[in-house]
Amino acid sequence: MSGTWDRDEAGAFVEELFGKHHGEIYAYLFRMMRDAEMAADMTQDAFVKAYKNYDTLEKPENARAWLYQIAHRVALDEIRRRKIVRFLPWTGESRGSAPSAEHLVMDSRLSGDLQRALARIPERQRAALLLAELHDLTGLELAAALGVSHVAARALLTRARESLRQALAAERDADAVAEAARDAAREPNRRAEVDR
Amino acid sequence: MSRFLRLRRPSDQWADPHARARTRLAERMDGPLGLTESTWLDEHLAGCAACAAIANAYEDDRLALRGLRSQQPDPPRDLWARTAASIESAATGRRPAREGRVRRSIPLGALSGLAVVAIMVGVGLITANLPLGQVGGVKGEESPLAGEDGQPSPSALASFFAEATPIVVDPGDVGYLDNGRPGGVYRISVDEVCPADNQADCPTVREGTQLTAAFSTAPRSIVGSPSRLKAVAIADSDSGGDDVIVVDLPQATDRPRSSASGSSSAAPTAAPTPTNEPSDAASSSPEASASAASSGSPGPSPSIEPPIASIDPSATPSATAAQQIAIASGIEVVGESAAFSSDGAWFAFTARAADGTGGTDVYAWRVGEEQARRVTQDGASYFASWSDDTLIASRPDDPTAAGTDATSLRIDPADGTEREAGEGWRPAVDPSGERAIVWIGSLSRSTDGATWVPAEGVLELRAWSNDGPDRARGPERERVVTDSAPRDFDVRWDESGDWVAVWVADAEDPVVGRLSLFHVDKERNQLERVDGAPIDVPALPGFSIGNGRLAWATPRGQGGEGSRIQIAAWSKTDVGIVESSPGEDPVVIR
Repeated sequence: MSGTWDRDEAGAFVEELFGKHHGEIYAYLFRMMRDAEMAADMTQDAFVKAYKNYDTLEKPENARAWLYQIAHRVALDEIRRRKIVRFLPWTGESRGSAPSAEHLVMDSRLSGDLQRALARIPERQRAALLLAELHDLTGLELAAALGVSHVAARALLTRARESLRQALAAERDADAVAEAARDAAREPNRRAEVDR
Repeated sequence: MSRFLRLRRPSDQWADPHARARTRLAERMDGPLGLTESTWLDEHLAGCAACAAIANAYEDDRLALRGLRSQQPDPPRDLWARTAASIESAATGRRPAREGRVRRSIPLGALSGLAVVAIMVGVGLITANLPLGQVGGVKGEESPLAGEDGQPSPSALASFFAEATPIVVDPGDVGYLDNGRPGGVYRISVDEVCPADNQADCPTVREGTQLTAAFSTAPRSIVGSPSRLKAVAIADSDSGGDDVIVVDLPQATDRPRSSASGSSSAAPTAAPTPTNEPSDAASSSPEASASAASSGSPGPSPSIEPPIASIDPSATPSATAAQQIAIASGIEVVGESAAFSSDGAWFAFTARAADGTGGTDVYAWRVGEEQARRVTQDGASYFASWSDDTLIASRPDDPTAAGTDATSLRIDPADGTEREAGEGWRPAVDPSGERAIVWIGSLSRSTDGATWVPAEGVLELRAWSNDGPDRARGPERERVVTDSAPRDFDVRWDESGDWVAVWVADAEDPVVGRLSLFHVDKERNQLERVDGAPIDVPALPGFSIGNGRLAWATPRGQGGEGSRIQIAAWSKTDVGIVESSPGEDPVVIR
């Protein structure tokens, strides 16, 4: 496949890829970014990049991991862009800087603690967890998608599990504190009712 | 089924058994441990309730994550229509650029004893497909791409362009001199850089291609012309003082595009490639003529640059030593501000007599003439920068005092006509002529009494006009580069005026300093510190900025490690950095 780049062939191939994988790619980007509109745009970007880089795919059987790799890079690029936009105000407000309606719905639908914990861990670790646990990538696929070695991918996943555990613990602690504060706030009213 | 193969790791490297247990627990979620570690972990869990709880937490977290599978978000129904339209658009436009290439790593050994000049070449260079040999790797681990034969394995190939999630930038070259190998001119190409937060995984850039031997002496600095056809070098003279030498720069050679399966052994062709040069004054100069004669090229042709991956480090020089013309001698060049005018027609610098008599004056050389001329005669003038073809200079208000304020001037380099340009010391005017970075404050004599240096004030961004700097506006942080008095500074703008780099000499040791790259908010006249851009990084004097990148050399490491060339490059959204392996003594230049 390398060495030549036939537009028709690439187009047909990407269309086939889209049919098979666009749902999971969209879901991955949705979970990474927590923004439906952005995830759709980024899915579109990912498949356009797949088309443009068609000749970098050596074996069609690796297409899924290759596609995840592209999507992962699109996500990291967007995350980096967001970080930069903070320093470049002339570009206008960062997309996704305010939670979208879909974002809020997503948060409410999913486990709040889990979602917030995922959002707290480093994006590479988040990506590793999502790809491994939700998208069932094998070790080699995960390494390919993350653009790192097999050993590095496993190490990343190991760190990710510990980060998530700690983040979840922190979320639950925060929930407990908030609940205690609410209870404390309600206590005077309760006493007043009892007194009456 | 295990996601990963069994992990092999020494078992005796843990100081904390609980940390070891947590790590092994997490690892065991994705694949079997070795027998020793597995046995150790089970025994530890049997006696450690906290670690057993963590094991349960890992399992619970996995179940929770997998529970999200049932909550699959639905993509928009029109997603394919949108995607297909984008693909169609990409297909009908120019052939899409490849999104990424492997960075190759070869030690920059050629930098031994070199004076480095960063010369930006090649906007719009065409990149070729990669010969996928010589795979670079991530520090400290086996290359994920390398197969049994050293070539990338097919499965790994699919991942190569996401290695370390590089930032793709427009391809461009950085040129440098290698005085360790008789003044040879080399170039390295950079089309990807690494995020600032991922430098640990970033491969070094490899050694560049030697284009030709250009210098018989070892210049300590060199300034490329805007056209990159020629350069002015400053070198120690055998007779004392400095020689200011003009040299035609060798041009990159054409190379055929290589395919992904092609070989990297193709040697450079003999014909130097004229690049997309503007037809500036140099074209009618004797130097330019000499360059054309030596090239043997029938005329301009599209510049086809090899990507960094296809460079052959063993390539032999493709041209002979270039012609050198000394335009000034018997002088000592002062400071770091020497520069070409934006049209490449003039070059100016500050110098004083090599024998120490007299003070500093501004010298200008019109490209094509035999000698540079002294355009000020007061013995206290300093070249600051160019504003179009007008030379901007500065001088102390009272050269007889120990301390004084400064005034700037606009000088016609052709006839020496002077007009005042307000307060300030050595304003570096941007390409639009609308803003400048300038020292606002007092001057004092240097410790040897021979030159003037900033005393008290600030180096800051100001709006600029023919009347000089406007009054300061905006918060200090957004306009002030430094409020300490640098012994010297060097400010250079990129061709767009969107980016500016500032080198400030160390107060104790002026041969080292710190370099910062700022983005400029033109509406507010403010400097912006951008994520990933170098700020206050150690740097030797001299750097180049343009074509979306900034190149400089680092001081030698305290442990004796040689200097490195570092290159920051930016895309529309990101800034990243790559660096060379240590060389011996690089002196990065403007």
